Amino acid sequence: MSALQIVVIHPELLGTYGDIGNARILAHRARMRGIPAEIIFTPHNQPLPTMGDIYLLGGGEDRAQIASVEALRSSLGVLGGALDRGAQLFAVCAGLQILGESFPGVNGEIIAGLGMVPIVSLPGSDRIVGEVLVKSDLFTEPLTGFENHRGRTDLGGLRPLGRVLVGGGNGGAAIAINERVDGFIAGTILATYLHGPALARNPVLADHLLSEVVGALTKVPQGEEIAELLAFERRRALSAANFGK
Amino acid sequence: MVARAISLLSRILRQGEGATLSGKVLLALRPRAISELTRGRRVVLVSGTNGKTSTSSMLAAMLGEKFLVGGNRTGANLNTGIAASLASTKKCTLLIFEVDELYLPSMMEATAPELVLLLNLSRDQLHRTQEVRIVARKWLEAFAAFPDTPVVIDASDPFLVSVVRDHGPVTRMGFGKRPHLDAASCPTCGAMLDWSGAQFACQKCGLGNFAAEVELGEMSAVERNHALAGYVAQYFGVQDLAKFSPRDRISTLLLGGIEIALRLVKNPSSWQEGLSSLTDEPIILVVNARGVDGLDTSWLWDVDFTPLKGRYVVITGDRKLDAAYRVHVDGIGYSLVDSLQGAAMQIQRDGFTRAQALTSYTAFIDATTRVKGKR
Repeated sequence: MSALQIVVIHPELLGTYGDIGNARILAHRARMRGIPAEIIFTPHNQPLPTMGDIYLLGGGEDRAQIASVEALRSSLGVLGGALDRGAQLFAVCAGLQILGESFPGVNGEIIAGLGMVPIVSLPGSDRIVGEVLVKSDLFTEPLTGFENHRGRTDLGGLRPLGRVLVGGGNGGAAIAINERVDGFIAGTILATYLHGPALARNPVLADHLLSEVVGALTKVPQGEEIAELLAFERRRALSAANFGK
Repeated sequence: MVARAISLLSRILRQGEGATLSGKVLLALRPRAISELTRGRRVVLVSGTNGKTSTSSMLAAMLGEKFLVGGNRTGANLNTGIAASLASTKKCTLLIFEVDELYLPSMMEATAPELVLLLNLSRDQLHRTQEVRIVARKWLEAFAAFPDTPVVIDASDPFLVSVVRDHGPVTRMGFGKRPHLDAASCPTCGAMLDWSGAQFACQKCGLGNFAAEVELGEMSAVERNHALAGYVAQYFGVQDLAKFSPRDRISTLLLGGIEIALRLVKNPSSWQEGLSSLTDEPIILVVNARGVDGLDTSWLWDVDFTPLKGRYVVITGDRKLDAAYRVHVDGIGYSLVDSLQGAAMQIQRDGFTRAQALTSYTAFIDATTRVKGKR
């Protein structure tokens, strides 16, 4: 079996919030099931590998985000081609924003995104910072994470990743809590504002991405329970803090 | 009158919480108290992401040769902690304050310092500081308002070089080339930095194109800070520094029948530094995520934990499970316990008499104030 290729796009630019952890978790959860996996770090000045199975975009500061999108414009064909043949793209925060039509720059100016999805991100009046609880139809239990962003993202009709139970998500406080959503799913792109890193705190999400590439996964081997313990503890802590249960 | 009441209050409250509470009261009664109480006095400010407390303390020891030195020596480095420390510095001839990164601009305004020492600037408490570049921009604006104030920096940090780039009286101390998690792109202009040479360089705006006034080559963080403090001490006329050596912020605690060397670690760069200076004793990791620790534990994944491979590792703290999964993925075995006390007891049962702990800020303060309370 050839190794599963996990491509970290521009780790030196989009890796401010421990985003590299998402790649490590994917590789770890593949390997623990006997699936060989390899992490490929692709800095902005190198060509994007064409044969990746899962591509990752992380969070970053405003200027780094702009540098990343500029570098990615010339690789758009490679990325599009990979997605067409079924590769997954998992994008977080700044990585989510750059996939859309536009996002806010350093002083709130509008920067053209990659235009791969019809979303638009605008600067919010304040920064949304804190723990998040998101209920996605994909999973039984809610997802948890930590968000830290100023942008507000309108999905332009795309399907959200899930409904926000606690936190700001795409829209922040301007959106009523019962209509607040986080991230989006579009074809083989899954995007979210959740850091943590998201795949460390939500092993079901990591396994979802893996199963989209390699098919049904064997169950979690013994000695790997720590991932579920962490996910459970975070869900419980967040529920207790916000709903008193 | 107010100052005397505050002094009394601060003596009653003593250390810990009291160190900032009396400052809160003082600032509520006299919003300009820091400015009033430091007017006409010699002040040195020390700021940066890591090493503020240990550097200020090394500097205070050196300058103690010539001056009666006062200031905040307990890590209480917000305006409240600085105000509180002023209550007992009436006779001091020199004040050294360590200052939180976000408070540096307002403390420069309040104290009009004679010199500012900048240690480093990197990602830390992102829920509060948002971006390293936002802090750098605030510093840049602060120095523009004090064009004649001498600044000493570690010139291996591109952010510091960028902040004082147009400043007049700067001493840049070089410590070779040091990788920087946040400086793939230029802090000044945003272009990609070139790290392939002997030092970082920006091909677009020229950042990094300078010769350091003093070049000392690569060394550990505590040695760098010792050297920076030494330079400042000489600036103030203390020449003989032979008897001073680099000292880290390590506290020793007797707990559960063993001796634990506690080391404060609080962001990727200080964790990496801590992991690189471990001894052979069992290791306790204490990970919290309360306020000053940083609320987001994502940074755990920016740290390389492989130095712990094959070692005796116990993990505790509010976020012990986040830390446990992190080290597990690096192939490191560990056990989980509910408290520092529990860690000590387990290590003692296993036949050890000493251990070392890498602890988050709040855990460090908890553990070290417990020691003081016992005396």
